[in-house]
Amino acid sequence: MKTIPSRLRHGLPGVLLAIFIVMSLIPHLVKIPFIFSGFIILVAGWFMLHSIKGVLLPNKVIRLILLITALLLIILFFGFSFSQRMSITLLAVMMCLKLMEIKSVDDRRNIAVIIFVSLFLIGSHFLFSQSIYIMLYNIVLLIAFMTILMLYIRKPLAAPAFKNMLREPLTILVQALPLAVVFFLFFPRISEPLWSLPDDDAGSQTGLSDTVYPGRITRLSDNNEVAFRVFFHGRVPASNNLYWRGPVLSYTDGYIWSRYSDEDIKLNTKNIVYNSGKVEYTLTLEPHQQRWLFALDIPATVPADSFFSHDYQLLMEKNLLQVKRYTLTSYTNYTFSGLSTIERQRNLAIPEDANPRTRQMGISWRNKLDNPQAIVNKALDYFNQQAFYYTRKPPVMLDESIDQFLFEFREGFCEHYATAFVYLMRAAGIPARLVTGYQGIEKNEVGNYYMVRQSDAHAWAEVWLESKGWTRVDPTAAISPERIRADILNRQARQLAFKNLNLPKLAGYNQHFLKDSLTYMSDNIDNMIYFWNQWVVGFDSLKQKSIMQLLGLSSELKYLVSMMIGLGLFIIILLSVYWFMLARRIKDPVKREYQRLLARLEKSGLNLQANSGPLEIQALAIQRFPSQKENIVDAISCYINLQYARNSEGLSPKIFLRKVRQLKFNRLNL
Amino acid sequence: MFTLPFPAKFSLQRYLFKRLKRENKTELTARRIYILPSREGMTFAIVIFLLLSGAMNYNNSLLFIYTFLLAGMGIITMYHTHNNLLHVVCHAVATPAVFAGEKLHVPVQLFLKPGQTNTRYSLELKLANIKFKNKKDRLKTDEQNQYFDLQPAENRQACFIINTEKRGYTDPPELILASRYPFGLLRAWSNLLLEQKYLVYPRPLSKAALEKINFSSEDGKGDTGKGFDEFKELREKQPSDSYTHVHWKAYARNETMLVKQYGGSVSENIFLRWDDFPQFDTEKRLSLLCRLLIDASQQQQIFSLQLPGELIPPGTGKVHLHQCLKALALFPATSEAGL
Repeated sequence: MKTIPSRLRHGLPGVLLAIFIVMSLIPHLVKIPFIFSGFIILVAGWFMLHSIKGVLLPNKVIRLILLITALLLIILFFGFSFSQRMSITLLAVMMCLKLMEIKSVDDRRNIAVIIFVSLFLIGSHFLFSQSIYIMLYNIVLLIAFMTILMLYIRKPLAAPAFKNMLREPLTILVQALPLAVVFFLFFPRISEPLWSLPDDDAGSQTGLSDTVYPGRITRLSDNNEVAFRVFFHGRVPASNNLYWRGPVLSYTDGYIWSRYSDEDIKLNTKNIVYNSGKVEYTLTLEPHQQRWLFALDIPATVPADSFFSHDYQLLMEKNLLQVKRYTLTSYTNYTFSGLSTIERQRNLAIPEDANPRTRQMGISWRNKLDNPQAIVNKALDYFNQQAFYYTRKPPVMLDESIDQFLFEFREGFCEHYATAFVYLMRAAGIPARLVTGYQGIEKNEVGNYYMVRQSDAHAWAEVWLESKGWTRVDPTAAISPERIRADILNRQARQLAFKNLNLPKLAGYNQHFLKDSLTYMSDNIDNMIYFWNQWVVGFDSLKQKSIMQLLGLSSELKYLVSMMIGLGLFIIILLSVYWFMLARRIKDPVKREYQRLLARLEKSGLNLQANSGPLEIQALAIQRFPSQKENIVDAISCYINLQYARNSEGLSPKIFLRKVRQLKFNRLNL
Repeated sequence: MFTLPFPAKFSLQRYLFKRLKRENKTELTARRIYILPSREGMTFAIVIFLLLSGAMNYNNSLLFIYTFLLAGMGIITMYHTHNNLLHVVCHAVATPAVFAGEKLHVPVQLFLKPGQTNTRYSLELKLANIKFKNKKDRLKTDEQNQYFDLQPAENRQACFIINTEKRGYTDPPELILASRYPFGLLRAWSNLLLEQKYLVYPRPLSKAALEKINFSSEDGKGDTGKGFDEFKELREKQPSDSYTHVHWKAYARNETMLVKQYGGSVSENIFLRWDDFPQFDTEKRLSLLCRLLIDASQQQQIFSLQLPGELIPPGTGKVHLHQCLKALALFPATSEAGL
């Protein structure tokens, strides 16, 4: 097999380039179709062999074939629609093909382009995740690529000592940090996007959705990612009130629960009275790519750019793609009044033909009991006294799922109980709806705030009682404690969720020390994330404004003006440093002007010696410019008097300056 | 009429060199170092711009930080690239004279100003080639580009080979010392106009041309004609004889040291006179004299040279030859009109 001679091989820089190109694509590799990931790894491997063993790179024809194949595959997978995923795939594939085009170690232009595209792709990781880990990962990649760039710029291509290789890039990075921070704080942020987002397809979504079917929320029970973090400004509410309200679902076909398409309308007049249990808190919500915000049941205020829907959900105008922080006030005691006809209809509607046994039971309860409260209690007693089990591993229920659950399996997670309960209530003639959200909190011992995880996802019911309006009922809570399956109790033993680096708490309860220290560590890590989200990821035009206000700059105009003044000051400081450090300025104005005079004389063709005294210079100048004899004598004698004479009355530096400036020397033309 | 302050095809390098004075030793100070983004630097700026617009559009804080970090690194690099050239001292070293038409080797010495502790990396020293307009010539000079690192105590010599056309003193070529270290985003350079007088002797007349010249004219050759190719006799070497007169070829053949015996008469000395060749113009005369001087010296003869206004007494040896050739090299070109 033909190879290139070893002195022309890339060696270490080439190997590093191949490795770090793959590393820079790792966060993307899982998102782009498998075949492209394979292609990229193949090409990088080829280049690595090329660097070490001197294996030849493909020639023009093969490269062209590869290019066409890649383009066809991209069209095959993505069609002609432009999306983020497609453009990232395209860029990654093109970059790898560019790798094959590197002609030699000296092919600086291609290598630089590859490294710059890599830097761009690294930046695009932030569109998918803004966690502190991805930032650290990207900084490592950034240093790596700058080092590789430096290795290739080195000429002669010396084998660098590993110790020194990183010194220059690291130094430059550290020196660039203050600049970056200043830019970050003061670069004007705009709150509206410049152009509409081409693709909100930001990876796979976790968390709640606006449809629920048996098993939907169960899926989240293993997920230890933090959904949001809460800081309470005052008292922490009692645990039986810790229901974080999310999507409210009124429509059902007997299996799936969802929202009516016209329900996201803005609430105009509130039909609620807040009684007591005021809670103030700040919530930091992880992006979930949905419109709704979570709030403690039930919110009284609305964060910026969001509104109440008519079923008291907090909705945003657009999907949440970034961490959002908002402060709210909620009341745990409240009374609703007035249910509109359409709402009543919708919250009583159940399909005619689905779940006949449940329907039958509901109707029989309505006939037996006249009081809605009694019907609610009857249902809760039913769950409590019959052999209902609460488990994270419910059997699959597909047809007549509620009938199956209530009369056959009797094992389920919260959504099974909540949906069955709502269904029963509707059958019994009580308006009821399904509410999803989260239940409970977990204290972070380090950061004095609370975490709510995806595994805390919950579903409960709201029934309309004439006296209180919408009333929260949690049928899951009615299950007899002895019938809670061990898998629920063991929820504390969280599984390792790699994505969040939550440490596994595998130790049992008896090993308190280990458990506590692990908790402490994971609390610490979460605390860091909290800070990160609050001050780095969540830094926006509002925060910028508050910093400006701290500095005493309130209005936009002031901001602009002070930017200009700051910039001007900066330039002036730079210039003065230049003057003082480099131009070795002479402070005495007389001496300075005299030096200028000498410089002018020299420029006009006079050959002055460094040690010539003023009188010699006077003689030379007169010889050269006889017409200006008087002026020259005047100026020089003025200088002599100012500098050397004991008595220089009637003379001042200003007079000397004027006299010198009167002198006009023409250039010598011989 | 309105004229441009620079030639129609403006060359930045030509302009920068025009502002310089020749110096024997040049220390690269901040005033002499220029810096501009390279082509790679421009691409880098475009990438930063794209990232910035992405960050602004998505209002993505981390993307902002990343972009500003990259931009900051680009700005800081400027300082590093500049410092990589700062306080490098260049100096052109004297070399022996060459004949016109021969290649002149110009050694340039580089070292760091005392007190500098940081190694300078990837320096590039090249001919400025501001005179060449076509690409081919420029590429030819690019072959002479030299790349090296410079350690604090190091004394590095780079050699440039230039063609010589004219006799007389030749200046060192315009040089550029450049560096793109560390990331190649920027190129800092300094124009070097070094001072050193390289002597170029006239081009010696070729042997073939020499044979064509008619020396028959008696007064043209004078007394010198006889002793041109022959010497009086060979005799065995005695201890008092100079080694310069040993006939080495004969020694190689016979293993007896024979000494070339030159007669004591004046006619044995070669006396080269400017006025002997009135039929040629100045340059040809100089060429011819040059050739004759070389031949005479090769034949170990005693020779002297007379030029208008200058007489070099008889002598022999390398120093003498150099003195004569230098006189030819520096002979004023315009004086012919006066003769």
